[in-house]
Amino acid sequence: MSNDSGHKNPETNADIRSSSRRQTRRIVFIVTAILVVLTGGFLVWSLRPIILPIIIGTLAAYICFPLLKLFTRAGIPRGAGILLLFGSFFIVIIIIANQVGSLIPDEREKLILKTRFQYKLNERYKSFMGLDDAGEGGTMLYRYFSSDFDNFLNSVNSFIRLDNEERGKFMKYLDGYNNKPPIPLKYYEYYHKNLDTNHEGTEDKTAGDLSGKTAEKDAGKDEFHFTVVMNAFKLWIIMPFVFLFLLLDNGEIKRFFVSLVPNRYFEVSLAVFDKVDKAIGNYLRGILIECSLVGVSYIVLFSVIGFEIKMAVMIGLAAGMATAIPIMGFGIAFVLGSSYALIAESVSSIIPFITSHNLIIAVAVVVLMVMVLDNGVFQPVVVGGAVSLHPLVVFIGIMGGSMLFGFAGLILAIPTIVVVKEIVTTLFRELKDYSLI
Amino acid sequence: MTNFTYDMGKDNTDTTKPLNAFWGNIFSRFKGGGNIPNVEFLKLCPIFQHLNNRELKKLSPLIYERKYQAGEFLFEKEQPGTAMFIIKSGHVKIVVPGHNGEETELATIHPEDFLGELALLDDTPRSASAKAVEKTEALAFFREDLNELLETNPAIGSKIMKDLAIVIGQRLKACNEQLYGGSE
Repeated sequence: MSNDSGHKNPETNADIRSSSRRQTRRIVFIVTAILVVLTGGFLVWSLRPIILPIIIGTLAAYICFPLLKLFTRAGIPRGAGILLLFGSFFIVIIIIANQVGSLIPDEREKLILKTRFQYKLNERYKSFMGLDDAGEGGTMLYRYFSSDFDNFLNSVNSFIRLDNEERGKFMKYLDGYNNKPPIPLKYYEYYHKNLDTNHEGTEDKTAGDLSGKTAEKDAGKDEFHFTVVMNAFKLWIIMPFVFLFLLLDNGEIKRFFVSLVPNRYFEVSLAVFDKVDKAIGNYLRGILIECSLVGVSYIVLFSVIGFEIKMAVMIGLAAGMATAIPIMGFGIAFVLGSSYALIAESVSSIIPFITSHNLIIAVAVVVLMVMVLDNGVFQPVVVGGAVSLHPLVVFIGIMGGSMLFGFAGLILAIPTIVVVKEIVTTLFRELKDYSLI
Repeated sequence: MTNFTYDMGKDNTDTTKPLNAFWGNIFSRFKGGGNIPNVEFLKLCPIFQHLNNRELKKLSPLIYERKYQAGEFLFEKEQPGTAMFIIKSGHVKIVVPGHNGEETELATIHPEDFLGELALLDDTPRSASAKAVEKTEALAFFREDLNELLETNPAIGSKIMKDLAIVIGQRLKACNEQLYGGSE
């Protein structure tokens, strides 16, 4: 009895030991994986303000990799090439910041734009509905739905009209303030008409009193602006460094991650890294060129139909950037273009029959033309048909991106989804090719 | 084809080997960028024999160092090839798996030899498997790195390609001699 048990026990014990070791190892791996995922998630959430600068720095580096290769091929030392690209990156950032800064309307211009927009909107409404200056008459359509239309217009008016503080500022700028030229009298007339529309004709008197109060607030606001700029600088200073270090990287990051891969997956990991890298690089470079081409097309065509150059550039830039989001780019171009067409004072188009009355139709034609150009020429030639996302994914991506990161998240959501999709599909394809799944 | 990760587990003495290989790769000294530990060794490989020291230093960051335990596969038959391996230490068997699970040994690769060089040309499936006989250190050179080298440093890339063609030619000649030399 004792001999039998003496023979069997060592084997049984070894089996048990081996099985329990395997089980312990599995538990350790699972617990480690959960901890890593939770810590990663926590870090991503906590550090989300710096994720965006990191993404943009990475995208810029990705776009510059082929240029660096080109420099190396041309015999320029790698260090000199990196210095050249980093210098160019800084100069481009400064130029863009400067240009965009000068394009963004200042306080005075915003007040004028709002005043013009409200006045022109009401004027067009009256002319479209066939109403006279006293608000009498009206087309048949208006007579049927007058209360609905009027209610809608009133709600738009209450949204866009100048509030008390803004009216105070308008009065200050009227005679010239803060080294800015006086507001033209024409816009003062608009301002008065808008007040009549708002049924608040007496408020222009209080506006003069308010101007004193707003002056006191300005000092505090300047301080607030300085803090905002400093905070933004602190966050975005990381971007050029991400760009620089990614360019300086000579494959060390890839080697580090490959070193973590078990031997069994070594070759497949190399193949996945390479294919994903190429696909993402091609997509990002393609989308950048497409956005630039679409933006330039809008600038040229809006200028042709008679937009002020400054407005054509602003709308072209916004719509060009938004082209990264399928469909959205055209929507943004149309909304911004038609909003401008609504407030356009005089149209100086090289096409003779375009006037301020039919400018909105010209805007629609421009958006259609760019849409045809983009779908028929830019996308097939530059991006290719590799990227296709389900509309639901696009919608959820845009909503999620904008909720997490605001406007920038809205723009970058789709490229991020495309990158993730590319990684997952390539990984599964390669794992199948290697018979690992 | 046997699966090393789990087969090793069946052998009680080898249960920790895949795990050791995994952690061994993580904690192996990170060799990249300016640190050039493999230059002298690469010089011994016929494919890199015509590269001078400066060129070898440029090549060295592209080389991956891997550690294998006895019984681990460097690559397996029918898998697409992506990299060539140079044996730094240890021995590797070239085997062809049979239908009944038995392996037919074709050759043994010793330190300073290299294998899987056809993967530098295209990704056709491997014609045989390579299995570490003992604890083995190998250097891997990836096809896409060679392609990039041909673009960015054509002088280095073309020297490697030329030596690769010579080696493949010599092996073809040797193969022909083995096939037809005996019959004469």
